[in-house]
Order: sequence, then C-alpha cells, then structure tokens
Amino acid sequence: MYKQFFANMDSIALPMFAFGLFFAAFALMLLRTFAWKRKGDFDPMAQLPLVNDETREVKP
Amino acid sequence: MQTQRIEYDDKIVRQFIFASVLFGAVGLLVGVTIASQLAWWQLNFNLPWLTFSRLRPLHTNAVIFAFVGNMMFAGVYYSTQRLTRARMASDLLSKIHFWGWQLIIVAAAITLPLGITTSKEYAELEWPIDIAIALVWVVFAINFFWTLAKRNEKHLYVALWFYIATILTVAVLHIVNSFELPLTALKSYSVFAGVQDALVQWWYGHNAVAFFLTTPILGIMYYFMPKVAERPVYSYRLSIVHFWALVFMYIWAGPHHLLYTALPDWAQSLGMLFSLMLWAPSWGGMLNGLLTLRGAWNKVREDPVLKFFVAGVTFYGMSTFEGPLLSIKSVSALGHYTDWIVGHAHGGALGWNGLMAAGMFYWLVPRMYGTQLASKKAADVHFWIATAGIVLYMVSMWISGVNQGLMWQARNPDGTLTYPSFVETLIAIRPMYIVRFLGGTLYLTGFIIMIWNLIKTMAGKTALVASTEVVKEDEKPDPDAGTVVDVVTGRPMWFSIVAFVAATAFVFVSLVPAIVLAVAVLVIGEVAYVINKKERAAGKPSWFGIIERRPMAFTVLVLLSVLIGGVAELLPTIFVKQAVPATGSAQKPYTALEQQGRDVYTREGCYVCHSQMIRPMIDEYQRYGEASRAEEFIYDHPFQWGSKRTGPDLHRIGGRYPNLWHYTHLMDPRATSAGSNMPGYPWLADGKIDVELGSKKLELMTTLGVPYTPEQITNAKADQQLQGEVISKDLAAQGVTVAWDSEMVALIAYLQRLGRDQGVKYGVEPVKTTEVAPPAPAPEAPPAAAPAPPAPAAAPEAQPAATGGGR
Repeated sequence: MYKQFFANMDSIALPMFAFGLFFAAFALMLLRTFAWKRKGDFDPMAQLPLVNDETREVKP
Repeated sequence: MQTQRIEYDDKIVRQFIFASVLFGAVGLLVGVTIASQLAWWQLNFNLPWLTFSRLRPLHTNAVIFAFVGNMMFAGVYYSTQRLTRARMASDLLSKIHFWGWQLIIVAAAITLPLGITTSKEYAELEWPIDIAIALVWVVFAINFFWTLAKRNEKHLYVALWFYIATILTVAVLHIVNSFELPLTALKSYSVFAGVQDALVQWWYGHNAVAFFLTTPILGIMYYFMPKVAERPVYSYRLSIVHFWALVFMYIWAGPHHLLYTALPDWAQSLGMLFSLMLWAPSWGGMLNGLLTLRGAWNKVREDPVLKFFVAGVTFYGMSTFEGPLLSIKSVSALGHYTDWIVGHAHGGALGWNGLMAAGMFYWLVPRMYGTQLASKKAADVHFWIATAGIVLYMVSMWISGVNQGLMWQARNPDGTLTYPSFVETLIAIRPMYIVRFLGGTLYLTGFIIMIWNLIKTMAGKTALVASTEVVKEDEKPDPDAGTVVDVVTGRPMWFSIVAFVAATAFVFVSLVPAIVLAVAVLVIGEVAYVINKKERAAGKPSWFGIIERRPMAFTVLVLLSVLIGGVAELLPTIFVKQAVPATGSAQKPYTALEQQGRDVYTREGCYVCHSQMIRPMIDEYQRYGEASRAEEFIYDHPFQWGSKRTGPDLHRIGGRYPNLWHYTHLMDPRATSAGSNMPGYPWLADGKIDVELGSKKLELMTTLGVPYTPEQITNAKADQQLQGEVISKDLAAQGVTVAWDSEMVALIAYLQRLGRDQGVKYGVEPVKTTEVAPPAPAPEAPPAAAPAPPAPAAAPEAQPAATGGGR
C-alpha cells in the first residue's frame, strides 16, 4: 500500500502533512504550556539570573 | 549541610573578551577591505593573498568563529559559573580551550589567504585544522558538562539549555560536514559529491548560523537581559517553547539554500516549510526578550547596554522574519544568488551578533574591574554609528539584490533578455557597493570607539576576583529529582514514541487500521493527561521537573530532537540510489589536468562569485543554457554550486569561448568584459601545477567512487601533458606563450570542460578553439617575451545575446 501511497501523492503532499502535524504539535504544546497553572514550577528558575550574592575584591 | 566559598574563574572570561574584540576588529577590517574591492577592483594590488575570492572566506571565518565564537565563549563561561554556582570544572581545560581556539584562528588567518581551502562555505579550513577544531570543541564540552555535574544549583536555567544544544549540534554538524579524504598535509576532498555534498554542506551552513550564531546568543540574551533589566524573563514558559521548537525545527531548514537547484524537490519543499514554521518560535523568543523590559523601557534611554540589547534583539526579529520570507520558493527565485542574501546575512551578523556582543562587553568589563564605563557618551555614539552603518548596509544590499534579480529576469516583448550582458547588471548596482562600503566603514568606526572605551575603562584598574558562598547539601537524594528510570518510563516519553510509531505506520497500513491507530493515540494521550493531572495534584514531580535537573537526560533528548531532522533529510539522499539519478553516461570523470584545474578553481575561491547551478527558469536558460541536472555532478568532490553571483554562472561555459578568451579574461577581465569588477589572476600564468600529484589525485578519487581505470591513473602524467599541450599550442598560435603545465592552462582545461557531460575528447575532437586556430598539431609557440593580453577582439558581448552570449 505504501508504494501506491507515494506514487499517487503530489510532491508537496508529504511536506504539507509534516507541516500540519508539526504545527498541530506546536499549537498543542503552546496551549499546554500556557493553559496549565504552573507558575510555581517556573518562578524559582526564572529568578536564577537575578541572584546577586557574589563579592568582588582585589586579590594580590 | 556546610557552606563553601566558590571563586569564579573570570580570567578566562576576560581572555575571551579580549580575543573577541581583537579578532572582531580584524574580521571587520577584512570585510571593509573586500567590500571596497567590489567597488574598486584595483584594491587587491594584484596580490593573490589580498584578492576578494581568497579574503572573503577569511572575513566570514573571522567574524563567525573568531569574533562571535570568542564572544560566545566569554558569555558561556561567565553565565554558566553564576547559574550553576560553581567554578568551571577545570582551569586547565579552560586554558586548552582558549589557546587551542586562538591557534585555530591564527591557522585560518594564515591558510585561507594562501588559498588552502576546502571551498565549503564557513567550513573552508583544511583537514588538520578540522581535527583541531573537533578536539578543542570536545575539551570545551567536557569542561562544560563537568561543571554542570558538580553544580550547586539544582535547576538548569534555560540559558544552559541553549548552551547544551549549541555544544551538541555544532559537534554533529562539524564532524559530518568534515568527512573528507586527505590528499596531502593541506589538501583533502569531500567524501560527498554533487547533490549529496550540497545538501550536507547547507545542512551544516544553515545550522552553523542556527547553532553557532543564534542559540548561544539566545542563551546569553536569556541570562544578560534579565540581569541588566533587573527583572526576570517575561515568560519562562515561553522560553521553554522557544527552546524546544527552535532546536527541533531549525535543523530541517537547510535545503532552503538550495531552492530551484538539482536537489530533489521533496527536500526543497521540506526545507521551505520548516523555514516558514520557524517564524513562530523565533518571534516568540524575540518578544520574550523585548517584553522582559516591561516597565523598564525608561532605562533604555539612559543605559547604553540596554540600547544595544534592545536593538540586537530587534535585529534578531528582523532577520528571522526575512529568513523564512526568503525561503518561500517564489521569493527565492528573485533573491537567491543576489546581494539581498548578503544584506540578510549582515542584518543578523552586524545587528544581532554584533550589537549583543557590544552590549555584553559594555556590561561585563566595568563589573570585572569594579568601575564604571569610561564614557557612556562614547558608547551612545558607538550605538548610533553602528546602527546607521547597519541600515546603510542592509538597505543598499536590498536595493542591489532586488535590482539584480529583476534585471536578470527582465525580458523584452519578443522574449529576449533585456539585459543580456551580465556586466550591465553589475554596473547598475555599483553605487550600492559604494554605499555598502560606507556602511561597513561606519560600523568598523563604532567598533574602534568601543575598543577605546573598553581600554579606557580598564586602564589603571586591577581585575577583581568574584566569589560567592554556597550551601553544600548533604549527600541525600533530592526527592523531586527522580531517577533515570523515571525519565525513560515517563508518560510524555512513551506517548511521543507511540505517536511517532503511529504516524510512521499510517503510511504503511490501509485506511481503517490507520483511523484505529489515530483514535488509539488520542485515547492514550487523554488517559495520560488525566493520570498526570491527578499525580501533580498529589504533589508528585512533573516529568519536565525531573528532566530539567538531569543534564544527561536533557542532553540525550536534545540530541534526539536534532538528529531526527538531520537523519530524515540527509540519509535518503545519501543512501537511496534513485535520489540522484546516475545514468552512467551522465558525467565522465574529469581528466587529470581538468582535476588539477578544478583544484586551482577552488584554491582561488571562484565559487565565491560564480555559481555552477543553472536554475530551471526561462531567463537562466536564455542566459546560461539548459538547467543543471543532479546526475551532472556525481563526480564533483566537492560540489562547486556557489551561493552568490557577483559574476555569471559557469556551469555550461565549457566550449562557449576560445581558450584565448579565457586566458585574456583571467589576465585582465576588463579586456573581454568592459565594466567587470573581477580582479585579474595573472599569477596563474606563472604558477605551475604539481604534475606528479595528478595520478595520486585520480587514485584518491577512485577511493571516493569515481571510476578511473588503472591505466588512467598510471598514465596521468602523460595525459596531462598531452591535454595541456593542445591548449598551450592553441594559445601559442594566437601569440601567447604559456607553459602546458601552468595553472592557467589547467584552469582553462577545467573551464572548457564545464557542462560537457561526455568530456572533451582531446586528440580526437579538440576543444573548440578560436575560429582562426587550426586543430592540433599546432605550430611551435612563437617566442613571446611576455604574455600580454591581446586586443579584446573576441569580446563575448559581440556574441548573440539571446543565446547566452552576455556573460
């Protein structure tokens, strides 16, 4: 069947299928990431660059 | 639990900054020099090593690997230590990395102007340097991952993810694209040929932009933007989407550099579609960077660092909008091979990379010396000069590129070309080359102001040593960390595998089982979602929470994401025989002399300005001849398709002009093509090929699959002489003395062969010579004192335009 499948399709069909598939995956991932109330999961990580507890001194 | 004082290694950061600034100035200066040569061809002063085609690879390598590379390492070393709250794992490895990288840069600076090159864009360095790059990169990787392993912060911040992706992917790209067989200590041939070589090269070339010039700088953006703005990144969740989408999609987009070429159509379409999809994550990342400044936009007015960052991120947005736009086939038909691409590349390099680098340097240097920036005003001046320079550069290249594209395509009502002579299109854009030179000069001026400002900031100061106190946790397992088993058996992992298998199976099964499969996948996903929600409510860590603390698991997933695209695109073209039709009679292997000439062609960097790929378009057919076919390149190690047409395409130039025309053109291009900006190559008349090497070259090519007979290999020396003498005697008949074993004769032999699939039958059917020249045997060469170019009697402009005479 797969030979027939490839023989009958336009050359643009497979890329369009891939485009649809990955666009759907991307949209789902976006929805999942923003829809869930997971702010608490990420806040500590987002603050990491702002930690400023280093001391700077001249050393001989 | 105990506390421990960690001392950061900032010396390595300062060293990389110093190297970046130094080589940045050199790279920009070389760029300005070669830009001036496009407007004023005389500026190579007839010196081979100062010629555009040899210096252009030096410019690109210097800017990409020396300027941005060193800047990237400085940012990575600084931020990784802070984000992991650990000193780099090994000072020794850091030193090897630094000095090894600088040695590679020096080796590039010496070899490229000498013409020692593989001719693969952004990968021109020859095989010993390739090996050195791989070794130094491994040292960097060990040091980085070792630091992650001994970190004192359990979370891996998103910037570190981008660094992981960079280290992994650059290693994969570099190794695969550098598969080559050495001929001598400084010469090798790509193991791939023609279409395969082109695909591998642009898979590498495109992703060098993605994973060397983009992902590490995004990591730097995610660390330094919040730091300077003094607020967290706008959306950490968006940064996750940005990362995974970018890493997965970027790797597929390489074929957009080969639209309308002989590359299989499916690969071109795939490249175009993934390029379009890249709009979403790229702009998501750009907005995430800019929105980090929410509520702090007033600081942009005051703080030069933020000015550079905001402009840099904006240029990232512009470049990542323009890139997918240029990947649309109909847009590419106009823009490809033109200066539009050059403008696009420089928008990214000067705008995104250059301005982000400047912002980072202006922020880091004063802090590392415990002082203020010497002159904020000078930094502001730098910013505005640099911005004006970029705008001049980009706008001039847009105008030039669109102008070129339209002039090449323009046709009269009767169907003939409106601008049949290629030089006409070149003369039309010359003013834009001057504007581009001014833009580049402005940018370099700003860069020099920055160097002065940084030196003044450091002058008389001692570098500070930064340290921090960390709490060392007792050696008991983190309850939220999970195990390797948790990673592998995680529901998202299994769901992805099932979905992938189902998607693949869909192709092989009939409709009903396919629908059943699709429904099953949906049901499994729904069940997993519900179970996951319950477990999260019960306080169990999420799968993502487990992954992001495990660098190794994270690294494997990144590698998988990257490899899927690479494997899907490269393997079919390399292993499926039908992908590149090879009919046997499609291309005869080059003769030994033609191969020698081909090596001269690559050494001089002719591919920098001339393509060897005629696209299937009516105007290209009229100008250059029949469209190039995949099977015509099966013995081309490496491919020479080029990516820019400052001069015309050469794929079917063989047999079009007499030998004398080629000689004259190479000695003084304006003698045959008035208005050309091509430099002369008079040294080819004096240079000699290594005749003894001929048989060794054929032997090596046999190893790569080129079907030379043992006789051809044994008789290579005699064959070279036979073929060379036909050309030199033909030239002698026209009053030009040039040795049969000169580089000039070898190059002419190669040029006369181009596009003639069956080869030139020397001795039986001599190459087309001047109308007045008798076929071999030619009379003895007259004792000409100097090979002065003859009068341009054979100027191609005199030939019928509509049949491709207008080169």
